[in-house]
Amino acid sequence: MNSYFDRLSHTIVASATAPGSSIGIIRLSGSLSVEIVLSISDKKLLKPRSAEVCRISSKDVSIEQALVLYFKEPASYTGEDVVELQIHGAAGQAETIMKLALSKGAIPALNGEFTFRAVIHGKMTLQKAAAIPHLAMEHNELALSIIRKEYFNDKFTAFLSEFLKKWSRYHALATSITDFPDYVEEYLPCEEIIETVNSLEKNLRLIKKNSSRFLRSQKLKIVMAGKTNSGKSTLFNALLEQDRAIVSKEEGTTRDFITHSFDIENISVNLVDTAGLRDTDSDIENEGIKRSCSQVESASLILLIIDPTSSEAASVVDFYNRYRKNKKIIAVTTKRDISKAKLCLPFSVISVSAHSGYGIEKLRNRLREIIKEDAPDPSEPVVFNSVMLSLVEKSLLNCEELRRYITSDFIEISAQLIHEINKNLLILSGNSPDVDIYEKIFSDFCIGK
Amino acid sequence: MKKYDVIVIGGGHAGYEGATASARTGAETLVLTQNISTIGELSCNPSIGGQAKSNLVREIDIFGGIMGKAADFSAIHYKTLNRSKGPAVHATRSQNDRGLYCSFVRNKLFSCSGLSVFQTSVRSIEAKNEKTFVISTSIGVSFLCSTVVVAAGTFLNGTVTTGSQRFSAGRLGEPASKNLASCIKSFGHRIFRLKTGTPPRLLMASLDFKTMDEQKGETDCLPFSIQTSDMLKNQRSCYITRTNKKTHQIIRENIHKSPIYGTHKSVEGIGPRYCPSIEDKIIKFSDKPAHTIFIEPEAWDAIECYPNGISTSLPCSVQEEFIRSVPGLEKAVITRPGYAIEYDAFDPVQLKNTLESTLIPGFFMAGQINGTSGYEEAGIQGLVAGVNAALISKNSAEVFTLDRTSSYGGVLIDDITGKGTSEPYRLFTSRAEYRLFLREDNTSDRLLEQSVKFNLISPKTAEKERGKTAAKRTLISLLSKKHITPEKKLTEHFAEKNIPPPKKKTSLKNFLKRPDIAWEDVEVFLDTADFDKKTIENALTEIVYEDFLKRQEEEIEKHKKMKNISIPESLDVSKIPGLTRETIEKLHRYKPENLARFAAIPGITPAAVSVLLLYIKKHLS
Repeated sequence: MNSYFDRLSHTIVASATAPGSSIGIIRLSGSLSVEIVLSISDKKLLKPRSAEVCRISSKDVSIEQALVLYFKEPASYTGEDVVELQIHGAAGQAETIMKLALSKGAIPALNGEFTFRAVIHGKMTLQKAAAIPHLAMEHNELALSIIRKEYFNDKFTAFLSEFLKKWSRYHALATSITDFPDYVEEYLPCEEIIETVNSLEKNLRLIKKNSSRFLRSQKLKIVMAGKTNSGKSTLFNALLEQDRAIVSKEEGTTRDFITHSFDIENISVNLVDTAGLRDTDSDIENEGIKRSCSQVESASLILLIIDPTSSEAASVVDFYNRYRKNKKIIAVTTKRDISKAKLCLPFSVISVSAHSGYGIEKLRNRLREIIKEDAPDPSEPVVFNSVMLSLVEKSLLNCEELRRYITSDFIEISAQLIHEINKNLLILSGNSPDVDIYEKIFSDFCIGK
Repeated sequence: MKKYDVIVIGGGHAGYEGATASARTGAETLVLTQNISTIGELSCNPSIGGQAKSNLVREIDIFGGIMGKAADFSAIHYKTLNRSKGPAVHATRSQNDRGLYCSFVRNKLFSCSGLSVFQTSVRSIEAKNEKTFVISTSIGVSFLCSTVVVAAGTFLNGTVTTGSQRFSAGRLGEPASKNLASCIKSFGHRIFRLKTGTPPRLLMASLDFKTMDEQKGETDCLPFSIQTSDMLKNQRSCYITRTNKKTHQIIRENIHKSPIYGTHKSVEGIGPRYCPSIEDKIIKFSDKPAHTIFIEPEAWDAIECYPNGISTSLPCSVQEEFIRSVPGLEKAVITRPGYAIEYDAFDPVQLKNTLESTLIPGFFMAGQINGTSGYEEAGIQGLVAGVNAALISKNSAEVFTLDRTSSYGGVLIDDITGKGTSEPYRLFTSRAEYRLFLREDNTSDRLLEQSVKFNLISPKTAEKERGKTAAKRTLISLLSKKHITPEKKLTEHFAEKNIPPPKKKTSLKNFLKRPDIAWEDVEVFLDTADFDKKTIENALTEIVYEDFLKRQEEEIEKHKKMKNISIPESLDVSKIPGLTRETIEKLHRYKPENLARFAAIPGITPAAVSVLLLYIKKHLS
């Protein structure tokens, strides 16, 4: 019963509003929706598309006065029978009425299940559906501006449908050439196809680049790493402009990592302070150090914090070299107010003092630069999740192969590639079903949408 | 009264393949035919094979069928179509001596053990108790059998039309079968009307071949049957000529006399779009200045020839007039007129993928009666129906089915029984999702073991085929073990041939995957004395498609999983929550046997598939 597909014959119910809102909305979708609402209310009949007041009761005890809205299939959000109950906002109220509905045969909706059903029943394209969890969850101003645009303009879908029009002609031509060799003397318009492939590729590359950036910008993480007592937590607080981490002169004060989010360039970023690295016999501290390492491994950007008064250049360089291939690193020397000592390092460093504020703005600017370099371009289309991105990548691979085969004798391989590109782009544009993609996409959703 | 295991009605391509396959499966089989001398008749063009069809012939052959052997025996001309394209779409086509083809088939039937032939026309079929059918004939004799295969071709209520003349016939000069159709209809099978056409036949001696293009036969083709060892050396040529403005003008001026386009439209059956009459071509593609006509001799010592490309149902006098406007045909004499034939077919979605009726157990239909066209399409259906009719008559629990992921036969039967057809169904390579795998060169790899399992092929032939596959595998493994490195000598070798050398160390096998590399470019690197030309060719083909096939494997697996979930006949689909009314109607109409077939029905959504899946899993397992 875990698959969205397996659940389709059931009626689902969820609270569509967050607890604590002044109005609560309970939404049901499925063939039993009307029956369930009739059985828990004083209504004998629901009229589609009209708002009516009703009394909801359990075992003859009246528990709520609600506004009921009925959308008859297929003219509803999900394409199924949908009933919405607007109730009072108290959390307990919603819970009681949900339980009532469950006792009458509904099942609680999973993440994104309403939207899933909308796509399945042809009410929404996949691209739009994929944007919804972001619309609902996003705290990120830049990402929101991209999503709103995609959601409402369908820029990506428009691009695809334009392309697919052209492409289906090649598809038909390749088919007739192989199936009617006696009568069809035409050849594939290789040059024209290569040109089309090139322009498709250019667009897909842009989408891929922008989407990868978009997806990366969804989970930007800056991890502060360095030896114990190098001033990571002090700098952490300074960057956040608040007293978030405990700071002391003692080595090993920070035992576990601390995460706090803040905005840079309209992108929300998680800043992570970690336990300092040193050899110790303390089990707790060693566990903390282990966690620090795994934070570093998953970082988008590392702030390598160096105390110039106590560090050896060799071990700092060692750390730098271990990560510089795969990660962006900013090296920062701290305690500028105490010492102007300079380590001799083969890379540039930013010298700061968290206490005097020296260099902090310079560090912020450097962070801004790096994040901006990799920020998605709001004027270009994106796809919203990794599954769709992998379809884009597959198509890019197919484009490359097609260019290689189109001028060879293997017209059937070209035809196959033309077909594969066509198929993947149809799925992307939401015009062709693919069971796996649906399941993956919709498990990203928050409840009730 | 003697009771046969299986009775096959009809001696056409579905009939003779069905009857012999049934006998090979061990059933005592009787063929009833209206006319013994027209058994195996090539009613339309004297030709076997072509796109996708040649694959069907090879599939029939690997299951021990007759068509491939008959085609090789009677061939007068071979051609490999799509030779300039990749091997997955190569197709062999032969021109055949009609008389030789028929006599070969007839001899096979009469020499097949466990098989009898009797000439009479069938009046009715009656389903008695379980596994007992009574077949009544026009001469008053009745026959009993356990299972029956109807392969009546275009004979059911056949109506021939040329110009304004309409008369009942199964083929020109042969009576239609009238009662049989209403008998099948009374079983609950839905009837529909189809149409097909044939061109006039011309007297060879009246044609002037000097003005036509000669199309010589090819001696390096692959014979149809694995048992044919030698390729025909001396072949008979075909000729090519073209229609012209004058031809088109004559047809346009007389179009009002056409029973299809004219003022008195009498023909209503739906004809094949891919095999248009010359009238169709001129009306629908009026911008084309000329249409090709292939002149195909009908025998080694042909008296008549078949002008392919001008199928017509215009009045005979008009036929003569337009034909004589074509270069080389100025003095052509028509020996038999072209005509359109309408006939009854039965909705194939009421059949299982064994071609057994879903309504009457033990009752099978195969060939044109199921709405298909073509000898090869009929043959493979006959074979599948014949084997299954025999299995049931022998109380075997086994079923013999073909899968669309491993055979063209599977594609054909899956398509017609799963989705039905509204026009005569012809197989194309593009109907197969996995056509890079369904090739002429790997029929044994795909189907040999199934054939062995059902005893359809002799152990000796099977052993020989296995040997060929093993040699191919050995060569491929050698090629994957032998590596070449871009050193100086190698670079020079390729520079001479003007080919970019490999960039890094690579196996010969991977290097050969590059579309610009041919065998001749690499053979110096390997000792291949142990392998014959055919083995090398087949290994190369395998290598070229390998990467593309791997990608399809996942899809094939998905399809198999769906196919393994069967939808029981007893399932009351109207009780399943979550299915729309439209879906329930489709389930009633198409009666899919498994989830894959359900999913293939036009208009079925993934939602409906999962609802049904859930229900089956929850309630029936």
